[in-house]
Amino acid sequence: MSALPGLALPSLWNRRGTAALTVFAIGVSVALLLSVQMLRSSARESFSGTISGTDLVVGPRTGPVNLLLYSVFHIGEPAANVSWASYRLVSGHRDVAWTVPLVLGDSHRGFRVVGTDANFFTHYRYAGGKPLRLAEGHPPQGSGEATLGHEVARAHGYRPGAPIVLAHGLGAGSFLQHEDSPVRVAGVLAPTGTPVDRAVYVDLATLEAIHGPAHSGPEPAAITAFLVGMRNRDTTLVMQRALSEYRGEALQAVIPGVALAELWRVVGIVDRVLLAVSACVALAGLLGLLAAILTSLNERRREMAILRSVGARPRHIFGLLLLEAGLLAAAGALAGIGLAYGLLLLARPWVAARYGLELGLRPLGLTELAILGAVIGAALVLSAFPAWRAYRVALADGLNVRL
Amino acid sequence: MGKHGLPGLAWTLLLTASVAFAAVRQLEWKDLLPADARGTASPSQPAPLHDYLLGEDSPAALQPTDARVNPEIDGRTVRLPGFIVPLEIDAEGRVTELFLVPFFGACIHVPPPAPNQIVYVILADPLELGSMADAYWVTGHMRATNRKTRLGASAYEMTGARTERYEF
Repeated sequence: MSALPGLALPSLWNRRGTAALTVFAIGVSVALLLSVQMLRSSARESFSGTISGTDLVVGPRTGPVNLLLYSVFHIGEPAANVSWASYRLVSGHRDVAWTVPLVLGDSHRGFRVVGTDANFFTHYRYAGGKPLRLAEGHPPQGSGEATLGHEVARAHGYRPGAPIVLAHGLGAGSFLQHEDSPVRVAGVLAPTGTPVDRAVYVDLATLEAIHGPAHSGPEPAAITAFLVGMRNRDTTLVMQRALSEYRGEALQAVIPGVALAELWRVVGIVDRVLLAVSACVALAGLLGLLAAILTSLNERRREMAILRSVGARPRHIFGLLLLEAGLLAAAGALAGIGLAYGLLLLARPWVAARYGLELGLRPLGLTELAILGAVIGAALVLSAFPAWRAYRVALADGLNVRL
Repeated sequence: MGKHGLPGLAWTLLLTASVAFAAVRQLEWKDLLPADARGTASPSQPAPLHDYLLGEDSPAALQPTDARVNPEIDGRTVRLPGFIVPLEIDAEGRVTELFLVPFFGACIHVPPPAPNQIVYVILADPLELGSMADAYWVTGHMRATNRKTRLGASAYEMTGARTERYEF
């Protein structure tokens, strides 16, 4: 038995063309399976970790998922505004501990500009309660200052003191630049792995100043949405209901956890379909392996017969074929891991830029290892069939010359 | 399983159940109401609350809201089935804090239940929530807070709680 690896490797090397193709086929399917799985978990973590410690997100009536997406994830466009009067009503309420106003509508080189106030930097929490940290500088103080998300600063090499120009609109660029009122970088936030990394934060007064003297004063007439932290968590539901029944304005208050759960109920279906499809691709790769072994059996009749004639038992032949299949599958799995990480590494900046989703490059988790184990296990089970056929073939079979 | 297997198993189950029962009290939602309110309580909702925003002196805000609790379950370890309204989610996407409510849809598109029909739960083990339409058994240490001025707030708080899936 101990001679088997010594036989299997040179034997595979002898058929290296077919072997390489088989490894490649398995590698591609494993890579697909792994990257879908990693994408799933990091999408889920990235989404769930984006907001924490906020009791309600308040905005115009659009739908809970929609409101959460544009106000917190910066995906999609706001539908309407919330009046400053309604904001003041909530922020001054005795059961409310803090509020964070959010004003969207401007951008800087494709990154969204968020108008807010100092409360954002003290009360915003992510990834299960982590506060924002500044890598350098300070939060914007008054008009004309901006604090950048980590990715914004990294992409353009901004440091505190650098002047930036904000543009009107949410696109990648704009033909309406606020060139007459440049803003100075006041600070840069430490990376968070959330959409905060990809936003520019300015004070509400800055946005009022650059949008001209239409309404003078540091306070806007309306804001896009706001975050609410209650003094006591159990008053959340009363506030939520009071806001959605408020007669002064059509408002909507959303519990972030509920909106996230709803979002996952929708995304979860697509997510499972993707995993099922990639499992089918993996199965196709394994069937390719099976076909390769089966066809090789005929070519190798003579090899098997010689092995038998020099003393190999049928179980050795069985073991040899199983070992070969296992080696191919293992090599395919390794190639798949490499491919998957390579793909993720390549796709990372693009996915972040396009979808604001941070793909974490992590070591393989238990689920990923289980997938790899399943692929190799399935290869062994499948190859048992050709191995059993080779086992059954008589010694004389390969030695006779058949016409 | 031997000849006496089945009665033996039943006996073991009974024993385990009674031991568990002594420590953990299994509740129904009506057990959260004070004894004298159980007959009259209706699942209908309290009056609209828009005046809550404007100030507490307005007439609607002064409407009595039944937030009285059942003192018998205060401080006990209890087990209660319900639906989950996720409040706090950790970095792995699991629920760590929630409201437990007696019906699905509370706090999303229908008004919330009465204060004494909501339990604010802090989980000891984070929960991987499948769907908000799934029901769960929640077991933990129950504390009743009788705050009559807090309109519609939850009157119960459960800490160190664990969950298991409830099968209908």
